[in-house]
Parts: sequence; C-alpha cells; structure tokens
Amino acid sequence: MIEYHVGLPCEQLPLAEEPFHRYVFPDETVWTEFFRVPKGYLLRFPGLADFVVSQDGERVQAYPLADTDAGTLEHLYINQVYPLALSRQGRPAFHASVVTAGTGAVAFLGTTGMGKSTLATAFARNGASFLTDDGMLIEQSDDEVMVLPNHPSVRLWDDSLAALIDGGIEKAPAVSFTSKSRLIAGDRLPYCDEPKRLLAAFVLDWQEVPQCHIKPVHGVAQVMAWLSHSFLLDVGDPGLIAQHFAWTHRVSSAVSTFTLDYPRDYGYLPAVCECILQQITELKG
Amino acid sequence: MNLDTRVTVPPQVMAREVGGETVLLDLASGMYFGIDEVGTRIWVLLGEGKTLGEVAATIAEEYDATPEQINADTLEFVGLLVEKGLADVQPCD
Repeated sequence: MIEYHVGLPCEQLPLAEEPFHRYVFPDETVWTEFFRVPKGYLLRFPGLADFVVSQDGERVQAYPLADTDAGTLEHLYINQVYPLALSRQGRPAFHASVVTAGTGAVAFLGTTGMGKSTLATAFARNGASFLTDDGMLIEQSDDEVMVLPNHPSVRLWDDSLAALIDGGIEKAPAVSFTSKSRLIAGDRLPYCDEPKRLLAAFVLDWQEVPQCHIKPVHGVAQVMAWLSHSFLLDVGDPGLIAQHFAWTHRVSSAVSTFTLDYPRDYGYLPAVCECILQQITELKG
Repeated sequence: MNLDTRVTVPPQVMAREVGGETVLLDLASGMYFGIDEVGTRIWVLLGEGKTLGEVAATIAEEYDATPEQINADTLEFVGLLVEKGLADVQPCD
C-alpha cells in the first residue's frame, strides 16, 4: 500500500537539477519530468501538479497547482504516479486495460491511443466486467498471475463514447489535461472489484487488416512486449532495473501473449470480442 | 579474438531465457538485447567456460552447417557481444 497525502497548492518552481528522465508525447509536449530529490523522487506534470515519491515508494505527497481540480489530481495519481511508486516497491504495473473472460481475465497492453479503453468498454458492454482501463496492477504466485482491480472508471475519446455508450452511464467531472470523458462503473458499465487470474495478454497493434488477426508472441519478443509496456520509476537505478527485468520476465513467461490487429471500425468491435474469447477457449482446450 | 579465446559475462549483465531465446540486460546502460535460439546455445556454452573453438565444435554437432561457417559465425557473434559490453575477453593463461 501507499500512504498518500495532498499538500497545499503551490507553484512549480524550477529545480536545481535537470530531470533524469522525461515522458514526451509525439507532438513534443512534455508530459512528465522525473527528478531525484533528497527524499526520493519528484514527478512533475507541467502545469498540473508535482508529486514527491519516497525512496521506497511507500509514501506520496501531491502538490497541485492552484487551478488543478481534484479530479485531475486523482487521475494523475491513480493512473500515473501510483503505478510508478509501486514499481519502486518492486511491484509490477503495466500499461494495460483488463476485462473478465470466463473464470479469469484478459489484458490489452498498448500505448496511448491504441484502443485499450475502447476495447475494455466494448467487452464491458457485452457481458464482461472491467478491472482497469489503464495501470494494470498484478501479483504473482508460483504458477499464476493475478490482476488486481484498479479505479472503477473508464476514459474515452468522444468518438468512442458516441459509438459505445448510448446514455445511462454516470460521467465523472472532466480532467483538465484531456478532452476524454471519464465514465463511472455501474450496472451498464460493469466493474469487477476482485482479483482475477490473468489468462492471456494481447498487445494492441495497428496494422491495416481486413479482419481480426491474433498471432502468438514467443521468446524475446514476448519479454520485450511486456517490458515496453511496464511502469518503471527510476530507469537509472541498476538495482531497480534488475528487479524490474526479473519480475517482468517471470510475468511474461507465465502468461500466454499475442499480438492483436483488427479493423478500427466501431461496428467491428463485437467480432473482435468474439475473436478474443475464441482464442481464450482454445487456450483452455 | 580467436578460437582459443574464452569470454566471461560481466557482473552488470543479466540474462533471462524464454521460449528458447534469451533477453540480455546491460544494467550499466539499461539497454536490452535479444538473442535467438542459436545465440542462446552459444551464450550457454560460453557460460560453461568453453573456448570459442569448443563452442563452435559443439554447435557444429547440433546444427547443419559447415565447420568453417560455424567458426566464422561464432567469432562474429561473440565479437558483437564483446563490442556491446555483454561479454569480456578473458586474458590468456
């Protein structure tokens, strides 16, 4: 667990040191800057908030800017800072949405914009429940990987929202840095609040394909797929990198992994869900 | 480097095998490297302390290629490992 506190709003003053790492969007907008500070790490979301994470990842203190609303701060914490702090504790977290499938769950690994939330919502609108729309938290025992439920909300762009949601689902207040809508789980968007065994993971790809295409991933590609979608707070800490590599290898070895391509056509999503469930059935067989 | 050379794995290099292939991590740089099935076999034999010639001879027994080709490929592969800092040439006895 993580002890989380929100401090008083304050300005983002320049720091003496340069950041040791940055997350930058394709349009070159800086999303996150990572600084080392005496107490641990400072994660700066420019124009939104700073978060100080203790060296051991067990405490987080947020310092929002004066005009950053509570929903935005909560979102940054849950989807960005929390998984990074967990990685400091040696606990794995991945960029993935997760839905129930049969007695277990399936994950959709992908970078921003690949369709993780859309696919999770499509499943949830067709009889499944979602465990997270991003920030997959897991626990691993000897022979199985368990996914833990994360925040009971889904974020969708307007086009996905219009295609998948026909009303009757509560919206959370919008967050300030994105035009995505946040939908709260409920009867029409079911949420699973208990851990589920991870049966398979699908890495979302975006090739032009005429129909759903699922391909197994093995060996080096399998480990690299998981590594490239994992959260890691300090990429300059050899001890942490070693631990991160070891557990990512264990997780990737324990979970059947596939690439998933499909036509990005909302009308095709039920067929994609069917295709994935068929793959899961074949795994069990 | 020649067929009498032995190499060692530096302490900052981690290796994990999966599905017959291996991912190497250089902790000093944080860079990952992937090696295929044959490379993995060579990696394991190198870890047993064999010379490059002994490694190549074992590979020749297991794979269908001429000894000359295997010698050349082994030297090239291990040369790449050394170049990337994933293996160190052991001093001669």
